[in-house]
Amino acid sequence: MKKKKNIDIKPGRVLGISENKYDFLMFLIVFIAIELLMSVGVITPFYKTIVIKICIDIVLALGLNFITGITGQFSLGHAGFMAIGAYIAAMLVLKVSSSFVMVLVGTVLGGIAAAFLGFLIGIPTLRLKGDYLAIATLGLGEIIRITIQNIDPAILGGAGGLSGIKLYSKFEFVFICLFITYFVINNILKSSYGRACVAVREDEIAAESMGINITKSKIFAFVVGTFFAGIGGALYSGYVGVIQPKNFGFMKSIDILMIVVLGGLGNINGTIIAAIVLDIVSFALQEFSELRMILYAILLVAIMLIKSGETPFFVKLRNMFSLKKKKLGESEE
Amino acid sequence: MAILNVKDLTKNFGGLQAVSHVDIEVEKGELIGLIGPNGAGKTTIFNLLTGVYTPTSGKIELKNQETGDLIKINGLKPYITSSFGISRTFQNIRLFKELSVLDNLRIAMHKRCKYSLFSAIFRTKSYRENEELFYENAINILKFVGLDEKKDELADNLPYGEQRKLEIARAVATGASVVFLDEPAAGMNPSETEELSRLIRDLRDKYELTIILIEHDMKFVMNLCERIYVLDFGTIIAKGEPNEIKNDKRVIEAYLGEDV
Ligand SMILES: Nc1ncnc2c1ncn2[C@@H]1O[C@H](COP(=O)(O)OP(=O)(O)OP(=O)(O)O)[C@@H](O)[C@H]1O
Ligand SMILES: [Mg+2]
Repeated sequence: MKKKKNIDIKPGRVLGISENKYDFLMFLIVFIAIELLMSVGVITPFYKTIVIKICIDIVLALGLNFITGITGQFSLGHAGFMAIGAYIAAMLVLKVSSSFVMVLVGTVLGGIAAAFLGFLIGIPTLRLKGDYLAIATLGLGEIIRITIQNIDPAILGGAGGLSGIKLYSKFEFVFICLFITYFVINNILKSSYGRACVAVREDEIAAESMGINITKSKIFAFVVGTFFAGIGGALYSGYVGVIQPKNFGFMKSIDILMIVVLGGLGNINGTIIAAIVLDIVSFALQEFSELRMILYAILLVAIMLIKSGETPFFVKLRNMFSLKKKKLGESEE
Repeated sequence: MAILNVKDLTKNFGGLQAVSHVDIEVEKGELIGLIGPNGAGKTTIFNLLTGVYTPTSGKIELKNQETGDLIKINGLKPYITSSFGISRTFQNIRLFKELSVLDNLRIAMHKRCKYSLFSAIFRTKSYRENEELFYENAINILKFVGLDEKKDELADNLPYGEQRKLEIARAVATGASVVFLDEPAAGMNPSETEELSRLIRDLRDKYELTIILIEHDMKFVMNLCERIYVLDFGTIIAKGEPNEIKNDKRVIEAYLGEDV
């Protein structure tokens, strides 16, 4: 018998990645647990909406994390791509049929359309770096939103948006989408395609000299990220039932970016935890929406001061405190 | 016939002529030294040959290993020259610091990735076979340079000398036939330098490389290199075997005060 070779496929420093067999089990356990808690009534219908919102936000954030965290390309236009997915799925479900098949088609098409646009837009913009790229993507996100708003209201509803969309984003459907997102992104990261993206983030000059077409890798990352933005948008339509251009403004992009930054740039599991934490906090602060903005501001400043980088913010905070304790005990300095 | 043929290579940065009318001819399997005082234009030549800079004028030709014909590579981007078999290290080490030693090498093999994205997502046979190949290849090179036991360590955590070695290993991992080493011995102590000297020669023999290196350590260059080009103010002032270079008047002048 040929011995099974033990190849090492974990990518070095994309934190928060685990082996697939356990992933699947973990997701299954979480799924069953939530289903159980829902049937028993511990998770009330209100809490259920929070759970669904969290799942959608994770899909969105994992997409942005691929662009910004893993490939190092700062994008502030995620909500624009989300809008593409949201409107395509909503239109199909509203105008064609509200069957599950159409929901599925709408979601996939929403992702594909967003990715296609991401591809077209990525070619010119990804030549820009840092702040310039951030501003360009911010502008593009706004252009998408304003375009939707100004298309004949008879088609896309103008500023009033689309309403009466069937609430198709049931927990089961959203959770499966989340699992697929996680699965796809994890496996890409454990392949040469993902490693090339990480290399671009680490050092563009070295990456290019080692044979990586950095423009191609950046566009690839953008396509993957915007694809999941589209999927997330489609799920969002079926979650809220009413979509308006103003839901996909700059602030929505910031919301998603906050999750990615808090979870640690490039950190998959961190992104998931950050989405859970932030969503719970913002639901708790729902009545004081201004407070949420203040909280964001404080968090952002704290992140800048602490420079958590790839480590999740919470972990960094915890480490800081435990480190201090250790230092006192060891009396090194 | 030469594997690398550089004719009349010139590079201007605004008013500064960093490299002017340089001719270099390298045979397959040679170990060439490129020396010269600080600011002579050595690194600029590497940047021109690897595609980081576009030459102002001149011609760079590389022999295709398979077909044997000459390809003009000036102005091509680094990832394209890399696909023609050119690789390099950097004067200021440019490793993927936050990645493991193993991943640094696997990234260098990216262009040999044969599987599709679909295969990657669904872990098909071609994905596994290809990754196994990458892994084995990486481990072999790491063993050769003596870093296999550190494969899971972050590149940034390696001691300086080992980072230099890893960068060379990474350049070899691309499958290159022509490798440029920019000051590989910089910052190393004499015993490390000696070991590196052996390593470079062994790598050349094992992987059938053609190596061109820049180095300020004269003892290192004179012992290791078979032929040497001397650059001063962007022009080649002398070329030849170490013995000829040592006694060349113009070289001694250029290095005035330095121990040649
Ligand atoms: N991108 C650039 N823009 C402008 N000038 C440059 C650039 N790169 C190099 N130069 C100039 O070209 C000249 C040659 O530089 P180069 O780095 O090639 O020298 P070098 O021979 O490698 O020196 P050292 O031994 O110090 O590494 C220097 O005067 C340098 O300032
Ligand atoms: Mg130099």
